Amino acid sequence: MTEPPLRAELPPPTKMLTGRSVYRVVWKLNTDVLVGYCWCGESHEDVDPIALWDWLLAHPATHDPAGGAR
Amino acid sequence: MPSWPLNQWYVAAYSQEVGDDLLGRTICNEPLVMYRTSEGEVVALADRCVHRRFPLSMSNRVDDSIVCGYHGFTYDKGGQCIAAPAQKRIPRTARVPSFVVHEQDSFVWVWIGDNERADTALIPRAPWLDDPAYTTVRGMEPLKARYGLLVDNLLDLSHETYLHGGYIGTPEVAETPMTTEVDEEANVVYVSRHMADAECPSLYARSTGIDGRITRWQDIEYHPPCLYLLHSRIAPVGVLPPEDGPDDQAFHVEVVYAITPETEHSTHDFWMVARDFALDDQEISTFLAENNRTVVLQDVTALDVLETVVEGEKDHYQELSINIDTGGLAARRLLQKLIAQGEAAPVGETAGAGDVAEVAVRAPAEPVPTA
Ligand code: FES
Ligand SMILES: [Fe+2]
Ligand SMILES: [Zn+2]
Repeated sequence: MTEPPLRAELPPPTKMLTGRSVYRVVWKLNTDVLVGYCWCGESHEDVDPIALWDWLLAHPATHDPAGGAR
Repeated sequence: MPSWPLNQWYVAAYSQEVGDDLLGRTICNEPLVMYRTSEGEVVALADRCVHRRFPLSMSNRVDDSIVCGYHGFTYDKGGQCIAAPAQKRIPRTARVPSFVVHEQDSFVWVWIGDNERADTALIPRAPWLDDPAYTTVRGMEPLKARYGLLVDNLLDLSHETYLHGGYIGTPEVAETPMTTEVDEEANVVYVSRHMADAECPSLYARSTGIDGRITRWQDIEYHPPCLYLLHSRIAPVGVLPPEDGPDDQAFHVEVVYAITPETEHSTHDFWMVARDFALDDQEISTFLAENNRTVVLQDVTALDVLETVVEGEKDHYQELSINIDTGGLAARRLLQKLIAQGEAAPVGETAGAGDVAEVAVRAPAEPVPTA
């Protein structure tokens, strides 16, 4: 198994939705890496979309309750 | 429990389908009869006579009432029985359920759930379908497959190359990064693929007058459960939508699907293609209609097969998901969330919507192979 390419090779996400709590995942076709962005700004990369969604959906649980949006 | 969310709006018909005649159609396992009253208002009632269940859609319209074609029970537009043969007193319980409907954007939307919870402000919009600045072609195909298979199919544009080879794919598509967005509050999935510099298909070159290469955007916007929008934007290279004001330097093709469950194993596949250029060009209308119908039928054929496969498989069959499924997984998860919310008791009980947001989209999975 080769190392996935560096995140820096992927462009920032296209932002079309304007809501407060929008998760984003960027994928360049023909590469295996996905980069996910929580609405709080944190990002995470993975090569499995299910694992990445799990990370994104779990992320609010780790937000500072005082500063988070929920 | 049904596999679709309750307490949601679903497209029951195109407005143009509902007129003086009685239209029978099953929506989310509810057999409905629809018609338009003399005042122009659309009525949707349960399509079963309370007497011996004869379908009202196979009965007769008399003024704004339906007279059952079996023994003549007569129902007003609210579903109340107002006459029965040779009978002076009509039992007060003699009524068929009436459904809340709302016409908007060339659709008849029906609320499937508790009538008191119906809120027309929740209906997602597709305004170009009913806008003189656009020309729309449309159709509807019956699908012998569960609605979830059509959702999976439409959220994944990568099957274009294989299932629709030669019809919609272009070489730049495979090179373009894709962003999947999920708005957790508004319940929207958005998949964008923005090609900065692409070849212009010749038909579009002719009809738009664009000469040279184009900026081509293909954006999916899914409002679960029913409305799917594919925004296709074509502009000369480098021309982006203005910060404010209309995006009038670009040409738009809006492909719309309404994904309405009929039963657990069948779906109404409504499809439309609207455009804001060459409005009177019959050749383009014919091309867009025939091309899209071909593509829809290719999907219908594949999904009809898939339905028989899914029905025949053992429980807990393990699917494998890869990166192309990112948008589809997001859509499935929002559907699960809406299903849980739709079943939750509306008032007085404590089932909180917050509890249901974390429904997992997977059973334990095998790892995805990587290169
Ligand atoms: S079944 Fe309708 S009147 Fe008898
Ligand atoms: Fe398709
Ligand atoms: Zn976060």
